[in-house]
Formats: sequence, C-alpha cells, structure tokens
Amino acid sequence: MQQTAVHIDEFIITERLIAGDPGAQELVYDHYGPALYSIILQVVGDTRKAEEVLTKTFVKVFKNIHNYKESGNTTLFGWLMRMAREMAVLEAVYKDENEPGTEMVRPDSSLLQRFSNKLPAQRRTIFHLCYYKGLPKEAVARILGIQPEEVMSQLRETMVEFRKFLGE
Amino acid sequence: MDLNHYIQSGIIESYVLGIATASEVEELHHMRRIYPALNLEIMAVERRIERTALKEAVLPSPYLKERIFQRINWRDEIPPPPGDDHSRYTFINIQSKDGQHITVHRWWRLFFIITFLLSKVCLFFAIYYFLKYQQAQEKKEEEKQRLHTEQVSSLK
Repeated sequence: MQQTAVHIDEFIITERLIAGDPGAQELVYDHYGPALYSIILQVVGDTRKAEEVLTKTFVKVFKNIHNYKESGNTTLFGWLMRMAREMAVLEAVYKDENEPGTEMVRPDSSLLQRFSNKLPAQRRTIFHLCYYKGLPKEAVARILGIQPEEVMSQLRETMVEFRKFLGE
Repeated sequence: MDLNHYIQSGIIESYVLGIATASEVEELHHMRRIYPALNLEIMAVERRIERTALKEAVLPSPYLKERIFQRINWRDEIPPPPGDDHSRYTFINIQSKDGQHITVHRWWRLFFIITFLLSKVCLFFAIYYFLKYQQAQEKKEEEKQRLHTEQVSSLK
C-alpha cells in the first residue's frame, strides 16, 4: 500500500503514547498537529482560539489515549480529528451562541468547504449547522422551521454525496 | 440489513466527521461487530480525509508546541511533598468573630510582664518602708517614754 509510507506506525505509536513516551508525543504533534489545527481553525475561525483548542485537544489526547485503544476507533487520525472538531465546536459555541443561524464566512478552500460550496443552499446550511456548530438535528430543524426528519434525510443525502466527493 | 446498502447510505462519512447521532453511532458499532469488513470501509474513509487534511495542514505558530508540551509536562509532574511549599498556602484566619476576643501585637506581652514585675517590686518596697516606718515610730515612742520617765524621776 502506498499510504503506509506516509503514515507513522499507529499500533506502535499508540503503545508508546500509552506508556507516556515524550518522543512519541512529539512525533504525533509534529505529524498531526498542523492538520488538526487546520480543522479547528475552520470551526472557530480565529487563530488565538484555535491555538487554545489545539492545546486542549493534545492535553486530552495524551491523557485519554487508552480510550482510543479501548473504544475500537479505527485510525488514530480519525479519532484525533473527531476530538479536535468536538473541542472546537465547544469553544465556538461561546462565541456565537447569540446567532446560531448565521453562516460564518470561510474563504479557505478546505476539503469540507469545497464540498459544501457545491451543495444547494438549504443542505449547505444544514451541513454547516451540524458540522461547524455541532447542533443536534432537532435544533437545526427549529432554526430552519422544518421537521427533524427532513433534516435527517437531507443530511443523509449530503453524506451520500460526500462519499462520492471523497471517491473522486 | 444489506451491508452494501448500509455502506452507501453515507453513515460512515457521517460517523467519521463526528455528526452522526448517538443512535446511529450505536448502530454502526453493532454492525461492525457483525461485519468486521465494515472496519476497512471506515478506515478507508478516514484515510482519504487524513490524506487531504495533511495536505491542507496549517502550521500553528512555532511557540505553540513548546507551550503545549509545557502544559503536558506540568500536568504529569508529581506534586511536591507537603512541608516544603509553605509559600503556596493561603493564610486563613479561623479565629472566632464573636466580639469576645481581641488580637494585639506581641509587644504587649512584654509590656504586661514588665508591668507585673514592677508592681511586685513596688509592693515589696511599700511593705518594706511601711515596716521601717513602723519601727521608727516605735523607736520614737520608746524614746518619748524614756524621756518622760526620766523627767518624772528627776522631778521626784
């Protein structure tokens, strides 16, 4: 497999992280830090906050690394990515809790941004509220004045499209 | 449930992005136990996103790494044994505030001891001079008596 060349050996690195090896921690930070920082930045939209979230994320990651092993999460990056986004959403909630319906301007051309730009307006809004704001489906339905089932089905369609988009 | 249909439903992508509902995640874990092949599908999606994310990475400021590792190491540090970190304690006055007690400077203790000793010295001298005075008075009385008897005897 071509991928394995660019990946650090996740099994060994996880074992070393669990043992609290500082070398392994640095390796993980150097390898994944910037990618996670980018993901966080897209959610919080401000470098100072993004740095704070990245710090919290890594503190949590190294503290809870055994959870990754036990939870049966598949790839290390997948676990890191979900944790980073979750922490970023929590941080962003404080910032724009007054206007949850507004769409933040994200001029960057990241993967998710490129994808969501192709979506029809309502589906894009639903995706943004779910992913960038971390809102539950019921809240999204309330904001848009539609049924939660409608939100669920539109999001499902969006995810089918995202699958196609990733495969391209 | 048809596995292929399940995979095509976008549930994996939803899970990988972290926007699946709790029941969807539970269902996915259940399906993974039944169909271990599903793990490969999840892994493939995660790898695809990972590749793009690594390409789109944004470097945080260089001092951040130091700050993060400082915080991690600080967390790991064993707290110092009690006794050699007095400076970290906050002084809390737990003396009763019932208005029956007063707090004074320690110099007052010395003042009270000196006052007490002085009063004893004064008392000593008071008794001493009182006795001396009494003695003198008695002597004077005796003298008077003696003079009186002498006068009486000379007159006779």
